[in-house]
Amino acid sequence: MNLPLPETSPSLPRRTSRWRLYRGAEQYERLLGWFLSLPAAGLMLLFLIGPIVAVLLLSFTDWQLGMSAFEWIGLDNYAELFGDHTFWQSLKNTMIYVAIVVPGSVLLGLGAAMLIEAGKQGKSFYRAVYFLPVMATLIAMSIVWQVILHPDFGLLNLILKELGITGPNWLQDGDLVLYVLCGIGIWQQVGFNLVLFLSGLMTIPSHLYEAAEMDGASSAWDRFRLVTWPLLGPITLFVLVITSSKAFQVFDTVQVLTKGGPNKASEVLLYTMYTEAFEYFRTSYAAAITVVFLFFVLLLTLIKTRFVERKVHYS
Amino acid sequence: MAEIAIRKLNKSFGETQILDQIDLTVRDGEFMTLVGPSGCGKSTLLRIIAGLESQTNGQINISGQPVDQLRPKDRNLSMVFQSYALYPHLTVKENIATPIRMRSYRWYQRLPLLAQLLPGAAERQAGIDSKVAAVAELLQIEHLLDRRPGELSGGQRQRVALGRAMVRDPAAFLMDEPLSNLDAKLRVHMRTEIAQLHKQLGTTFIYVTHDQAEAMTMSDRIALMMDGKLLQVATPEEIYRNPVDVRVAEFIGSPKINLLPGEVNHAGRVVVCGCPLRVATQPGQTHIRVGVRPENATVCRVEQGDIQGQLIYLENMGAEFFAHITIDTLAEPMLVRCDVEQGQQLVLGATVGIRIKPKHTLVFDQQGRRVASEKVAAEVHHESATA
Repeated sequence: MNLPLPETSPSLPRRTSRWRLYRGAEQYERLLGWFLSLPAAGLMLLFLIGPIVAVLLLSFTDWQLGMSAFEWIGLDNYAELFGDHTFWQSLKNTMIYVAIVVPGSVLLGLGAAMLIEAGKQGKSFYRAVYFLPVMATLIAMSIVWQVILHPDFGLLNLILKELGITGPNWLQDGDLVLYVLCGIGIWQQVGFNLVLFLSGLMTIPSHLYEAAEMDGASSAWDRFRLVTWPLLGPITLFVLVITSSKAFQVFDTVQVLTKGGPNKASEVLLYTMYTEAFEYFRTSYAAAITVVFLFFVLLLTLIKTRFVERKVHYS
Repeated sequence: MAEIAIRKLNKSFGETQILDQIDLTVRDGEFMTLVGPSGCGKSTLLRIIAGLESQTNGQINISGQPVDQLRPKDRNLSMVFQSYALYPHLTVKENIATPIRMRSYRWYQRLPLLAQLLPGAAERQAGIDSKVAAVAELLQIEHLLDRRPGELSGGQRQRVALGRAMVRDPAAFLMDEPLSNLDAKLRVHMRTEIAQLHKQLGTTFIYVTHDQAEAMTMSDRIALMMDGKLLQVATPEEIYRNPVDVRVAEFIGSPKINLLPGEVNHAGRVVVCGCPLRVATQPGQTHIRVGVRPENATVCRVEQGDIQGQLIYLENMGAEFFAHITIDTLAEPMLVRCDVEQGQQLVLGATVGIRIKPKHTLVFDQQGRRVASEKVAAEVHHESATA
């Protein structure tokens, strides 16, 4: 047997071949990486990026549901949209809704979480009670609210009547209806935020409160400012983002309770989009509304990653 | 500057007695160490002094004033925590400034933005800055002032925690195992630094540790606690030479003291392993324990020894040797210190004698209490006769 033995002394050609081998391995590894991420990338393309691109393209056409042909009409949809009173009303209502529901549910969630955390008993009971609305289907809960808010035999107005007050027609009063929806939105969101804040509070080491106490932070407000609030930073950011994106997506309550009325007083972005797309079948126009909606969601994400995230992670 | 007096202090959680009738006076400017094994109640005692926990009964006076009803901040004490407890979102500078800001500012003077518009804000800030700078200089952390705790090493965090405690001239410093999170080398170094800091400041220090070496090296006096009781309060020297209880003798000193079972014969001589030592105590006791520290015995030839045993191991420490010698009737080998010269000559496995210095031999009764003992006078006569 005369097998070719591998060269043992290090020499130039051998080093280059090893180098080539190394480069080959690196290339192989890179290819393998792409290959392994293929399923995830494929799914993301199919279900996230694909539809977004489709919607974006659709918004530049005049296509309607059921039509076999379409034409590119450039920015016509957007021109119509920005000239449409309903759209601006809808955008304004959505903004008001977000501006009330986000701080409302975040502050109430934080406050309730701190009260529950400070309490000695019944922590899990309170947590469960506050979390119930999150678990329930909002459509079903909206129907319950409809009954409660009914002007004649609703529970709320019956109670007010007992107190000698004539309750308004909550869902038919144009000045009131948006705020009623905000109230329901807060009710629904508080439990979710509360549970997140509770878990955040539990991660704050107790010796920090003791250090604060020694340093002279004796009032509850001082302790909150010095320890609780800064250390809840990451959780608060997360809660804010989740709550804002949920508030932007308000739809169920509007669909069940008001249908955007009375007189578009409770018209919100997603509801406008829904009616345009699935009642008037103006698909491309609805696509333009969706693009506006996506723009706000994107903006929110950018604010989160660019500005806020840097300020709340300390290590 | 303050004297801290603790009178008949008790603490129990339900049925469990954590602290039992603690009486302790920490003198003004003294470095007092509370030492004991974990779970002995030393940290609880410190937290009660700080006001972070309340006692079941008993009284604490600081500078003659009862503080039992006062909140922590009104007791004018500073505390350094084992985990340092620095505020992670504040810079080192802000961390150190926090006690001053919290104490000397009204709430509206601490509001963000608005506070800077209030009259006198600039002077107040300058006052704080100069105090922080002075503390930072003392601790040599000036270059770290703008960093956050997350960017610091353990030793640096330790200094920042010290700085936060020092910045406002408290009546006393309370330290709860401040060195236990540091590596061994840094721990020894910080030991010296804290002791020096105490000398520089002249303030009362109460220092909690489970490490007897820390207690011995740093303290003016040591209070040794076990099972919620204060066993002995004395200077390091005294507690080492004259422990009042066998548990104190066992806890203090490294390597540990040798405890040999023994008895007292009718003449009052202490007998260990059937051999009478040159130590006398009250006659008639059985089941005593005789404590001999490794440096209070010497290895010698068999015929010269008080007792004898077999050399099984030699521990070379560089500057000295520790000979491990098994004695027939004892379960644990006895440790005896030798100098380098002798250590190098010893042969493993050989039978050797152990000569016990009677002057420093400690005798404990069956309950572990210290019993008075003395060097046998007759032996002195005998020795002088032969000399």
